[in-house]
Amino acid sequence: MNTTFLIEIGTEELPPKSLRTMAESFQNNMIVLLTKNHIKYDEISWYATPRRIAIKIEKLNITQRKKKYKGPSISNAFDSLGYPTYSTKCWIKKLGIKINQVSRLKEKQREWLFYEHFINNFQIEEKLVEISISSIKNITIPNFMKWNKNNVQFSRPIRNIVMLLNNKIVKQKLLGIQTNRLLSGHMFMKNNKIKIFHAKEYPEILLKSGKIIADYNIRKTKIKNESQKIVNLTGKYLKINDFLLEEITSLVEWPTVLIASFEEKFLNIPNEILIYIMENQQKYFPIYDINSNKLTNKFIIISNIETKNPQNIILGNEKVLNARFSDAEFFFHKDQKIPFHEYQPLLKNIIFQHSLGTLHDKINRIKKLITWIIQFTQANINNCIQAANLCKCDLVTDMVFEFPEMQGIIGMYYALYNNELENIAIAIKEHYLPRFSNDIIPSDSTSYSLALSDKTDTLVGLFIIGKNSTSKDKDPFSLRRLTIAIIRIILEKKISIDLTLLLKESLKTYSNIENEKVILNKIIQFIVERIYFIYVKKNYAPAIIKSVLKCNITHLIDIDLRIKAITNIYNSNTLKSLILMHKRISKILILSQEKLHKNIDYELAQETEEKIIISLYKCIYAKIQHYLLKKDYNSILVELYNLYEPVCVFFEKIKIHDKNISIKKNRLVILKKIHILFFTTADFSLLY
Amino acid sequence: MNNITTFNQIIFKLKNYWKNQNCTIIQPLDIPVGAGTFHHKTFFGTIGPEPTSIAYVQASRRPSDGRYGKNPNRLQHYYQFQVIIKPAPNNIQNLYLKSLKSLNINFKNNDIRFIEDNWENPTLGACGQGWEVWINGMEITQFTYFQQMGGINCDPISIEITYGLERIAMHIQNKDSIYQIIWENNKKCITYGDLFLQNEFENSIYNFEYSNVDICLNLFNIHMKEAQKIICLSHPLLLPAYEHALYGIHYFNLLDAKKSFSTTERQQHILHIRTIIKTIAKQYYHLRQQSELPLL
Repeated sequence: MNTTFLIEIGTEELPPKSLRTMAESFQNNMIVLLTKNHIKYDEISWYATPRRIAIKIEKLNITQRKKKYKGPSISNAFDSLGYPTYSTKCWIKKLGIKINQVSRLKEKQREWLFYEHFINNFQIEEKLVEISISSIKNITIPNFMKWNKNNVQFSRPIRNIVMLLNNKIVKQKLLGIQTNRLLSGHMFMKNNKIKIFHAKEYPEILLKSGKIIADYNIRKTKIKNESQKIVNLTGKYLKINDFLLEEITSLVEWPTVLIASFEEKFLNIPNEILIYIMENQQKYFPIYDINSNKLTNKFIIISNIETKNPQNIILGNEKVLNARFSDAEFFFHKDQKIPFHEYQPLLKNIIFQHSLGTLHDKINRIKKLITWIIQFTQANINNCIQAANLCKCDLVTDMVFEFPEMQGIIGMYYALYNNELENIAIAIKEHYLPRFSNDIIPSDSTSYSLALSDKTDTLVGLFIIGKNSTSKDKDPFSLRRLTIAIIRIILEKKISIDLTLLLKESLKTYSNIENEKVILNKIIQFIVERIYFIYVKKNYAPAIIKSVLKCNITHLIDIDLRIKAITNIYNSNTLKSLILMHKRISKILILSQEKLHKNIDYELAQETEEKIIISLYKCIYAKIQHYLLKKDYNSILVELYNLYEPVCVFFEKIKIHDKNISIKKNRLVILKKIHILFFTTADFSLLY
Repeated sequence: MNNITTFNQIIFKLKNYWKNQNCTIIQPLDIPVGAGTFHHKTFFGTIGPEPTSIAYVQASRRPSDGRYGKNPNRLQHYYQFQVIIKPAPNNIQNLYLKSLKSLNINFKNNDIRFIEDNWENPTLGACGQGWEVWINGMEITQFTYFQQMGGINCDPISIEITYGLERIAMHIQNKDSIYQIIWENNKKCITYGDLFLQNEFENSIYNFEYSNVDICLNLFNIHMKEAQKIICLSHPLLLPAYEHALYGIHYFNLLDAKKSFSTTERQQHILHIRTIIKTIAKQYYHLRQQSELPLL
């Protein structure tokens, strides 16, 4: 019963950013195939280091494992002459057995054909090999490579495969390698081959004889805890970024935490750059001052080796970091040689998009657009114009050339050094926000006015030159992300702006556009799709979102209020009544197909109920107009609901058909008027 | 001081080591290039199925990397030691580590790591998966399994090992700056700075400040035109064409250092170079096939 299976793939150093995903995907593939093959087990675990990925399955249930198959029922199994029927023949053929191997199974007074057989160890071994090969081949790998003649592809060269069932090697040549029982120890601390006698010895044997912590999570925790401990001793603190922690965990087999420092003078360089170099390029953890929250000149190195005298490693790393910082300093001083605003003419050299001109042209369009936008954002015009002038200047600097991810941040610092106003500097940094789905949005009115102008300009520009993606999965120019950013800014900052007007205004800033109307409609359609998905993602009912979007409004705040108002009464009797009323009225209007007058003719109202409903309509119409101005859709829905009972009575008491066609038509007009009132909020026909 | 392994000895030891691994030691290319990869023995050698095994020192120029002699480990002119083997041996990583050992690099007191770094050279139409090799956080080697060269899929795969000689010397000699490296330890101790500091200073000034955009652009066009012309001959001259392309790339790099390109212009130039390089690679492959791949 106590069977353990182990497979370890020994490789050259695997990509750290995908190590965990690869190991987890290996395990998931195994789980799926084990289940599919009815192989039971108690536990399955994955292990991953830069040089290996392993799966261990414990308590595999393989002894006398019965596999049962139920066939056709006896009544269907044999024909009148007692010969097997077609379905019986198919069944035994599928199983690869003969009819005399089949028995019968009684269940709930019925009887079936039945076959069971025992799987022996030999077969399960074969199955496990099959499952392992298929699982390896289907590991999620971002980037395949080849390394030798036999054309095997993997993330990195595979150099060794250990496959054990208990103490026995599962002999097999897979991926061009003969399986064996030799594990590699730490490349530099042990540099040995470890003979593993039994699968259950994994991963402990690696720890004991190989100086390797194969368990990813144990390694991760160790790095985190020991780093924190060392830093706490110095009275400072760490902000550990989980992505970096994962990456470092994937880079070492035997993590050793060391503390080091860089030359203090470099703290004068914008700190984001220092942090970027430490984290992204050198894989260090920066250390911060506990009181001021500021970056200090200390940092943590996670070395992959434990030595008696780590001074060598510390000094080496310090030298490298100082050299890198000295490079950043070089760019920093070189960039400062000319005032920040003088970079602006250089934007003429950078093409924004082919046939959409240079970044300089883009800035000019942004300025026109932002001048219009500020009426809705109440931002200061001068600040906005200056922020627009400067927002792309850092793209010409050496610093951003060297560290492209620092765009915006560098601009902010350079603006501050050149005594620009703080909110202009912040806008330069923040106009790139939000960069991804959960990113923060620009904080200040100058920032979000600029962000909105820049993003709208890009969106409109790319549609003009037809770079809008038509395929469903591909978004090469990130237009979806851009659109979602625009929507988020408007909604979260409650900017009362109509998208159609915004787009029209942006189109005006481009010259010589053909088919302006077609382009505008395409963009609106594209945006409306995004709005739909945003609300779906927020768990609003698709029917409600559609019913509101059907009204062809492009005022986001308005859309938002309507969706929320209907959602408030979702599943309530109010909504049910409204839907019922709308349905009845629609039916009659659709059936009648009469040409109707625009207005109700009061003279033609004969019956009391008719008169009541007209006066009620007049009153409610006035109220709704009032609420409409305030975009108070909750109240509008209440008012509509007030029509429900009277309309019911109306239908009960009054026949629409009348000999007098004018009277009939007039009754239809009344209904039509009420019907139109619904559209002030949504197209209710989509809510049925 | 006498025991220190000089820069010269590092080169000597590496040549010796790789010679013993059956590599043919050859001499550098006499044309300004950005990396050892551009040597025609690497470029052509990695195309097609014929095996190769060579090693050489290559002087490399990267105009944008000039720092007026002020940065401790960045230069616009430096030396690489390049090993190229096709097909890549299974134990290549080990062979490489042994080469470090032959330089007396201690594996027990240093943190040696292979950090993912997938290499790509758009002008050469080349790419491959590999690593930067770090010693205590400093990159000393680029280790790459080429997947493509000249736009042609590599089959079999070549392994390229490129040692940054200055960085290795800094480590071995325990120096804080490239300029302090002992180049030769004869009667007078000659440092890297003695030999090259002036060069770095003057060339940085030239590359960033005085190089003439019009002249560079002209030279670029002249070389590309010439390359284009001689690959269109009835008997194309592939090596000279490739060499002209290399000159072209150098002038492109000079223009780049002065940031004289807009984004699209830059891209257009890269595409222009790549088209020519790809044509050369394809014709070369074709030619070798016609001569029945003599090295197989």
